[in-house]
Amino acid sequence: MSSLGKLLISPWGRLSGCLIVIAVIWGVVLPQVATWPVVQKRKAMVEKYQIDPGALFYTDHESHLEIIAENDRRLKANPARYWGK
Amino acid sequence: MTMQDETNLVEDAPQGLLSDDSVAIIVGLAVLLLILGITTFYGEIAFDKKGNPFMASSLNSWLDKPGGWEWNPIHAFTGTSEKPKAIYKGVVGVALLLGIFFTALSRWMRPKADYLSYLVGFLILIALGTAANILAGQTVIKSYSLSYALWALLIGLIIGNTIKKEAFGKYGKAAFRTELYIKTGLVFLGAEVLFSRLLALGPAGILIAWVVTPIVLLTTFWFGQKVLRMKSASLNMVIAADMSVCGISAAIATAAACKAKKEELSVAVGLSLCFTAVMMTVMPMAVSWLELGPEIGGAWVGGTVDATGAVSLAGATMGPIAMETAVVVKMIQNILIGVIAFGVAAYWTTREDQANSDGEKAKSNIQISEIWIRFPKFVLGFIGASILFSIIFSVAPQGEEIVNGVIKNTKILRDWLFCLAFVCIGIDLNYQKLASQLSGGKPLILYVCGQTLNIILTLLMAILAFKYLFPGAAE
Repeated sequence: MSSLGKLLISPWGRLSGCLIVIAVIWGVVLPQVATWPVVQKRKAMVEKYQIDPGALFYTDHESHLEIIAENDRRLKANPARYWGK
Repeated sequence: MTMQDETNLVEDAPQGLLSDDSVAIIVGLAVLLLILGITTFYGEIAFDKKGNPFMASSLNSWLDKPGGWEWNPIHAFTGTSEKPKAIYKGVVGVALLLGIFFTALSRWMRPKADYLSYLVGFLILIALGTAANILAGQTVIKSYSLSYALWALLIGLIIGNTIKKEAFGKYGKAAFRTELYIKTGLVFLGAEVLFSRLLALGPAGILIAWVVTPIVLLTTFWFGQKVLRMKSASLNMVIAADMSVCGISAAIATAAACKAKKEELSVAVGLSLCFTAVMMTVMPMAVSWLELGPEIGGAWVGGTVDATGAVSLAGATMGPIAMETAVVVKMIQNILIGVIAFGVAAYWTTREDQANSDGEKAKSNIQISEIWIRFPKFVLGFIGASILFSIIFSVAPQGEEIVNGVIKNTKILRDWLFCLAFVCIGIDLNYQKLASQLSGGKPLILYVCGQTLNIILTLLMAILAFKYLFPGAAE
């Protein structure tokens, strides 16, 4: 096997290969995909509602306080709503 | 130590004075109290973009993680030209704060470790975690709820299957500690489990989240053990909790509570992310097709889609009322994590005792001291943080603003710690171990069957709650 072949299958060679693939996908492919209307529409919705799409917990959403506060306001205005009346 | 033991989340047997559980509680509570003190005594009332009050302190700009970007990853650290933000300061702040606490205790965990090795290893991990956050922040990736956990796992897997952990030498040995970061992250998460939030949607929300979820969890676990006869009860439990409660955060908490293996947590997270991506698109279509309306539809989506972020996205496509209902139902489910983690830890302690003596039946006279030794202590830190912050939230003057201000900082630290843990898990895994968990397709069958039950039961309960028992509760 040539020295280049050995380098490519060596641990550091394989790591470099993976890093190049990641760089191409994130540096070239995804920025192009991000310009598609469907993605831009979704991005606009995420910004409008202040959603964190990767949220693990409700506190990750900026809007959770607003939702809870609004819920509380409605209940104070009409406590019977709590019981669905 | 056998090979099987080596892949456990609890593989790092304590060799020093302090176990990982103790360090997690000490660091978790110390940092929580530090941030609580700074927020309470030096904070000022501020308002978020929607006008909701919280106690802001100088910590807010010093604790952060890489943000979103579209074509230039540098924007993850600086913000865009329209919305500039010095996020890099926050990344440095997190590295400093956590680095100082963990490094100070590193020799208490492993007497042979030296401070410098731990600190260097920790900074390497922070660099890898930063890379995972950058991958997760790209607009396309972010828009489809593919969270940092997946990319942290991927980065770890690439390293673990190419240059391996050994390439980091003594630094990796000292600082790559899955269990420590997961458990400390869970103590931080405890501060976000506020019990007063449980009643936000009234009895309708409790019916949907607190009745259906435990039924689905227990039935799925039973189905996996008795019908599918899954060999690993911990894998069964982690998938059941992940699918029935709230995705990755529930999987992490349950995996730590039942001492699951790293590859089991990875399988559960992978399954959850795949199904979430599908369900967040399909469920709103089903709501529209069945003409369920925003209340029932929102509750259905909130109770069934795993990931919290995906619930909001799916809810938003159905309108503001549906989104609010979905988010509140998911929030109530989120808070169930505390109860589930405690219950699983308690059950597993007894269960382990039962299986301990080479197949012998349960010992009826288990000593309480034995149970205490086996109980995962970090759960006490988790529950303690939850109780402390629930009390402050409800009782203290300006408690709500203070707790909201503290959580703004601690959720960043929690995210970082989970991210570091997933990098460590990936590094310790190899593709064969991961593939072996999927052999026979049982985890996939379990997930599909459990989720089907979840979808049916949640729909029935949402209709019962919002149409018949408490009509108008979410209007």
